[in-house]
Amino acid sequence: MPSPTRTPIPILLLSLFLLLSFSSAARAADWTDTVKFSGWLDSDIRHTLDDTRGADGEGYAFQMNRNAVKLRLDIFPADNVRAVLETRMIFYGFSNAGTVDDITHRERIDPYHVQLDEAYLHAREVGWEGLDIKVGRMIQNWGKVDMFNPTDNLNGRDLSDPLDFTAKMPNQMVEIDLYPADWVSFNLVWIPVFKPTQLPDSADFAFAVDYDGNGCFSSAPAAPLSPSVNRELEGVIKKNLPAKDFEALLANNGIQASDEDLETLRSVFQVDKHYRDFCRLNFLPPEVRTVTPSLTMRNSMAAAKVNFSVSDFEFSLSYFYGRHTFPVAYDAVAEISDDPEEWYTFDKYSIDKSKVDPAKLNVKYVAETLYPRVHVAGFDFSYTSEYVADIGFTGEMAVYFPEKTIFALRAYQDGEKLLERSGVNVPKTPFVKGVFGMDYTWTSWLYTNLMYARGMFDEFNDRYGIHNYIVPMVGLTFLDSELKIQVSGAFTPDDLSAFVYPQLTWIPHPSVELIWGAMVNIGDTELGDPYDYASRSRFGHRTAGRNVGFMKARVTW
Amino acid sequence: MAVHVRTIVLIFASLLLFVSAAPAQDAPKAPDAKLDGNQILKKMDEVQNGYDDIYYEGPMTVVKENGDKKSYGMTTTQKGGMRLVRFTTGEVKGMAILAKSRNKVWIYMPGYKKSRRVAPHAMKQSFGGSDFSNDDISSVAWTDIWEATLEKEDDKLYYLNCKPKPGAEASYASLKIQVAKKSFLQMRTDYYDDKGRYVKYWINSEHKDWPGGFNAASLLEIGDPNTGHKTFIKINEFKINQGLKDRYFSRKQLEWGR
Repeated sequence: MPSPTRTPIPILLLSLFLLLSFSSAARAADWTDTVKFSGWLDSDIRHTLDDTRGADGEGYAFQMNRNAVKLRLDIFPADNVRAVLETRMIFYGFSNAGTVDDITHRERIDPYHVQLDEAYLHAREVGWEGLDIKVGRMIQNWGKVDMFNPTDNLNGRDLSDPLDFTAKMPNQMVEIDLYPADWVSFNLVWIPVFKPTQLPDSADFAFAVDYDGNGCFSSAPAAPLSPSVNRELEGVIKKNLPAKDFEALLANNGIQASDEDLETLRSVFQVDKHYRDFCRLNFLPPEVRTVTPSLTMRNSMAAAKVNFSVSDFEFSLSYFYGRHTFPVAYDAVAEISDDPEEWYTFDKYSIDKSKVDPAKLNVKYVAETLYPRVHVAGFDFSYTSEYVADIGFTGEMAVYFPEKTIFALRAYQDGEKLLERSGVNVPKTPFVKGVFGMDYTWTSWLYTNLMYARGMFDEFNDRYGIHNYIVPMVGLTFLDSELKIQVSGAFTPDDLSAFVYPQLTWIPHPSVELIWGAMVNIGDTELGDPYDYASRSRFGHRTAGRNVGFMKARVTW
Repeated sequence: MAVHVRTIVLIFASLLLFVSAAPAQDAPKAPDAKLDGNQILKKMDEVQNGYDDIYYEGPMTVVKENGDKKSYGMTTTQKGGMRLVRFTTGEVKGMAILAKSRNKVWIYMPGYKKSRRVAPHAMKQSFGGSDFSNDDISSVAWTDIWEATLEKEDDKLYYLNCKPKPGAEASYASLKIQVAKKSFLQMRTDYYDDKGRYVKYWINSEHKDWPGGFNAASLLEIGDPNTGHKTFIKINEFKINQGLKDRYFSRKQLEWGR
């Protein structure tokens, strides 16, 4: 569940005030001519379907109990002028109250927040009939393909809801659109301040430390370096752990082994002469920091696009200069100490002392991430013609020119440097993301769509690389469109993981949708090689989120 | 999205030919008995497209065999062969469709906040839930596809029997169209398949004089005579000649959202 923040009540009141005041003012003239009010109410209940993809002990539980209300006003104060205001109020349905004091506060018992999805001015024919200007908080939607748009890099993603993985973060922008002719148009966008992607809750698993059934350290996240360096780092930590006699350990557990068996077991369990007691290791929860670009003009972003429409062929050429909106690791420090008091004295990082165990070897791991600069040259197209079997084709290709990012890792013990390694995380070499898709309606009740995608939103050719995806969708419609079944998903042949997203929608009345469905991820939940950052299964790893079943009800007005 | 695209396209498509109007004051005079079927059909085309621009709004109601109904509000603006339809209620609210010509159709999807070109195959599907199909509007001008013979006439109506023109693609083997003698408005059309079966009907009724001095049907009904499934469009507001420019029918306008 996204962490709800305390509601900015003034925003809520302001929204309602604007709604009422505009409505009242408009009613005096011609309400329907000057203001359009729309929105939806959405109730969403989800329950987990697995007990293997979450944190230990989470078990099966409700994952969401959300009610959301979207209110949108399109206000037309004059010809060719539009103001758009779109807000969303989200009530999470899970209590955050943990103390008696908490249950005296409504916002802790019933947490919620308000967000402003869009708020902008749109003026048309500004000085010239072919010139439009938009200013304010908005979401851009570039690209011809419906969901995966490698040419669309202007907004960060809003991945707070794993089922709504195409949502975006609004940002303040200035947009100028030129329409010199029917067959060509231009879009110019300036984004003064960078805004990153909102990651899902499950992103924490990318940096999670695992423990075994006895509560002893099992594994730490692999750094984006070669597996040999990650092994080296573990070795540095291990050598500080107290050694245990492996033979004695077996004996204590009632296992009598011959010398030959001992060698075999050492090989199987990858232990050296002395068994390292990981129960004596206290690996504190890793801290991952993000370095946000400063608020300078140099860090603002810009994009331009020219759109052509020639017969049955539509295409665009685009350019973007800005930053990748997902964090990329560039630095990490591991500090090791069996003397926490001394450790505190020169550790420059914030330490949660309650997590420190003086009786163990404590390891603090701090990683830093940044948002690399990037230039993106894009091309997208759609082609629909009865001359090509009536199939609709769409595609996009974007060439990314990334800023080179080097990842450096250092390990210290009580101030003494034990290890320093670095390697290229994101090479400067240009890379390509692309999507090609086709859709076809076979009958009045059967629709299919098939896409090939290279590179997902978050991929940036770092050590994890760029992956390939097959994205199919089948839609069935019955009972005069009152009943719809849609099965979509994605499969990556690179690591043989996939997700399946079936949905059943019943529309008992116009405006009312009742939806049942599930999101099921398939693949390895752990790294294929615990020392290899790139061996993470795309949809299988726990960062992809829990498997859930859901029921939604939505009414639109 | 696919269903929505199909739905919108076909609702839209169904509207293209349905609304016909004739000036109340300047209605064509009583016909010359020498008119043949093709001339009558041509005059009907001229009546239906005889304005600079047209705007109308009203709900479309689908009536199922068991009597269940569902309605969607919509507005339609058209000029020449260009049309812009917006949906104002229901789960499809905010969707809009623009046709610059028969083969150039775009749909705006508020969920994606972008417009996209509609593939030809989507234009050919029947609209789920309604009795309209895109084939009903294979051309704005009936004379592009059909050639008519005058079967008979009475005091009020011409009775045309229509067959596809050689080489023309038509979804029906024949049509029988009733045309009002006084106004040349299309009153009723019956559709027959290639086996001679009666498969669809379409009735324009409740003609009235609208503000602006023209006469047009306010109720359109299309249905399946074999199942009883039918669809109505009740026109509440009808305007003509508002001086719309051609650039109104642009993707820019499609995404404007007004």
